[in-house]
Amino acid sequence: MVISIDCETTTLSEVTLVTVRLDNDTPVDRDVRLRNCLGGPVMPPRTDGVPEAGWDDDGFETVVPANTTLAVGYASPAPERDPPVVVASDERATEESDANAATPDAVVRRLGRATPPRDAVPPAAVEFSEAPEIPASDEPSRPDVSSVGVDCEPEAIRASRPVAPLADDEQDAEERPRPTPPDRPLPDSVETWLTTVQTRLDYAERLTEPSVSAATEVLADVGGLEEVDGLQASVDADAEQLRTVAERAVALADRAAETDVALAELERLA
Amino acid sequence: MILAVTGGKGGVGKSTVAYNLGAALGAVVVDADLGMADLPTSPGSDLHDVLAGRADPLEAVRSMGADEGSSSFGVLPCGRSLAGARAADVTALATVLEQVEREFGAVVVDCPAGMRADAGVPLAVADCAVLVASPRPFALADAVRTRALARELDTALVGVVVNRVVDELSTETVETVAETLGAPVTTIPADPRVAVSIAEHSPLVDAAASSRAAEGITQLAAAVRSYQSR
Repeated sequence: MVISIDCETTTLSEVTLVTVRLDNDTPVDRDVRLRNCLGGPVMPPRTDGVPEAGWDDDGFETVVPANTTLAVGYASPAPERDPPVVVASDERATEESDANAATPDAVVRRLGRATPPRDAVPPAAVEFSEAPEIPASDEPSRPDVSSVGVDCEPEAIRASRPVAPLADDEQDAEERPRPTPPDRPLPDSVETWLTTVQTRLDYAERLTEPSVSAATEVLADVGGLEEVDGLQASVDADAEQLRTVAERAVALADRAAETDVALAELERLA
Repeated sequence: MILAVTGGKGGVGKSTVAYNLGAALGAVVVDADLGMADLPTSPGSDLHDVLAGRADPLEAVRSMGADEGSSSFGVLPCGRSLAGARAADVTALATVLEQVEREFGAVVVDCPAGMRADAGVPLAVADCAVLVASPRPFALADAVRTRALARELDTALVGVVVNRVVDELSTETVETVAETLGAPVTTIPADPRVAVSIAEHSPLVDAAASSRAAEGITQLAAAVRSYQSR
């Protein structure tokens, strides 16, 4: 074997991070294949959700140029093991390389996805198109109560389901003071976030020391006990985030109040 | 055969060309503009559902031209919602287009504007492409960029459509465009019947077969067929 390999592992939150250094001291390019030896799946580095070129379920294949050192890394949810990765093959590189082939994955890596940002998607996904597939009331609505802005695809899928307006027909909803919309509308993304937080908070409030009937009602609204799992943690995280935002907003507002753009002087100078 | 109708710039008439060319070829027109779809949809699953793994591609194809004497072709429409666009995985488009091609033969993909992966993936999957440009210099610059992308992705260019031409182009201009983009040029004159062809479900080859616009589409379809039979 011509190539020399040097590995390091670190464990963070039960995930093993593997760093590999490949040294090619020879004057020729080497085609190297690495095999993962950890007892779990390979979690490769990704661009826009697509694994970087060369990665597959077993490991990584790449060309290490002549007299060059190449560093790569991956993660695995398996415990550390020595060695975490081995060189499965090491051959003189041939001219052919399909890394730049026009596969959809390669295109996504090179051009980037054009997916709309998460903030642009209404959380309750009120369909503004003709939306013919949405049943009127047969399917129970299941609002998302536990996620805290984690960016994942199932989220978007779930968001596409219709959600009933919260507690519109309930008496206690009237007793609870609800924030009135401000005179100046907030930016859409902020409004969306606050509405999501408010929805979660409403459920959490209704589940704070609830009567059996009230609890049953809420659980029926959100779609079962498993939907409430993690609600408290989400609401706690919301509280922390809201305080951070409030502090920053006040500081920025103070700074904004102190500014006075000297337009007249600038115009005179121009 | 999978044909990509592309063009870089938005609003140059890619969708109308794709729709009318699809009708002329008897193909399935796939609306791959995941963010801003144009082709008409109807109740049922669409490309968003297919790319999110929630629907079968073949079931999402609508048959068009059921009337006697009208062209028979298909449309695979795309959803309009942002949530749907977010859930759709553009990398799944390759297998979807190939599956539709296996079942129906010819596929015409209406590509989105821009240079991101949603425009690049259909181009990479396609066997050949038609480039649509408007007759203005700035739109031509975008067409040149898309031409470069197609070349990089090894997609052959069958033809260039200079769309919505009001004043007849000089032979010199047509030659310059053909030389710059490296493919024969078809001009399609501005014709209100082209614009309404999608909304009224009446492809030009049926509604105005003798118009100069329909002639352009037929000429383009012939070029595509001759490329296919090569």
